[in-house]
Amino acid sequence: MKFSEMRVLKHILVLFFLICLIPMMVYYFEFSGLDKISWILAGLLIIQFSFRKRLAFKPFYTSKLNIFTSKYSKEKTFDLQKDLLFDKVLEIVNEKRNYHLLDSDKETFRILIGTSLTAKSISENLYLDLVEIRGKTKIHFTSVAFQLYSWGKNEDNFTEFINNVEESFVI
Amino acid sequence: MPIVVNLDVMLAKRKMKSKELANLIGISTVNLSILKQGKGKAIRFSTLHAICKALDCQPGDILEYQES
Repeated sequence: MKFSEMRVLKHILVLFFLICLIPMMVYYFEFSGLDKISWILAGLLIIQFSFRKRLAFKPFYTSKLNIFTSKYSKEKTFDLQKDLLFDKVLEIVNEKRNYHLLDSDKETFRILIGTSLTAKSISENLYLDLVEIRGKTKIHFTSVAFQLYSWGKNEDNFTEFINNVEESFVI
Repeated sequence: MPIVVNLDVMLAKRKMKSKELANLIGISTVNLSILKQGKGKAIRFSTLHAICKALDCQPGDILEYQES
C-alpha cells in the first residue's frame, strides 16, 4: 500500500471513529451533559484562538500537553544566509494570499504565519525558526492546527511552504 | 556551481547601486542579492532582458561558465 493511500485510510478511520463517538456521547452523558461539554469545548476553542497571533505563546501551542492542537514539525536546509532567507520568507508571505504574517522577530529569526480557512481546518499557525549553520540556513518548521486531528493539513502545509520557497528562487 | 554571476562587476562598471538596479528592473532587493550570490535556482529570460537593458550589456557579461 502506498503512503498516500495509507494516509487516506487513516483519515477514513478517524472519521469513522468520530461518527461512532457522537452516539456514544449521547448515550453516556445524556443531552444535558452534552450541552455542558459543548460549552467547555467552545470556551477552550476561544482560549486557543485568543493568543494564537503571538510568537511568545509558541510553547503553549506546540506543547505535547496541549491535546487540543495537532502538531507537525520538520526541518529543511537552504543554501542561503539567515538574514536573506528571513527577508525572502517575509516576501513570500506578503505575496501569497493564503498566508498572513502574524508575528516576526528579526533578532531571534523567528516568524509566525497564519493560514487561511479550508475545508479541512479553520486555520493553522506556522512557526518558523531560522538557524544558520556554516553559511547555510536550517528552517525548523512547525505547523499547528487548532483541532484534535489535522486531516493531513499540517503535512500539506510543510510541502506547500517548501515548494513556495523553492519556486521563489526562480528569479 | 560552474555558472558564475558577474552582476557585481557590471554594477561596479556602471557605477550603479543594487537598490537602483532592483528598482529599474522591478525585482526586490532580496531577489537581486540572491541572484548576485549565485544562489538562485534559475533566471527568467524576462529578468535577464531587463538586467541587460538596464546595464546596457550582453547576457555573457553577467553570466559566465567556469569549470570547477
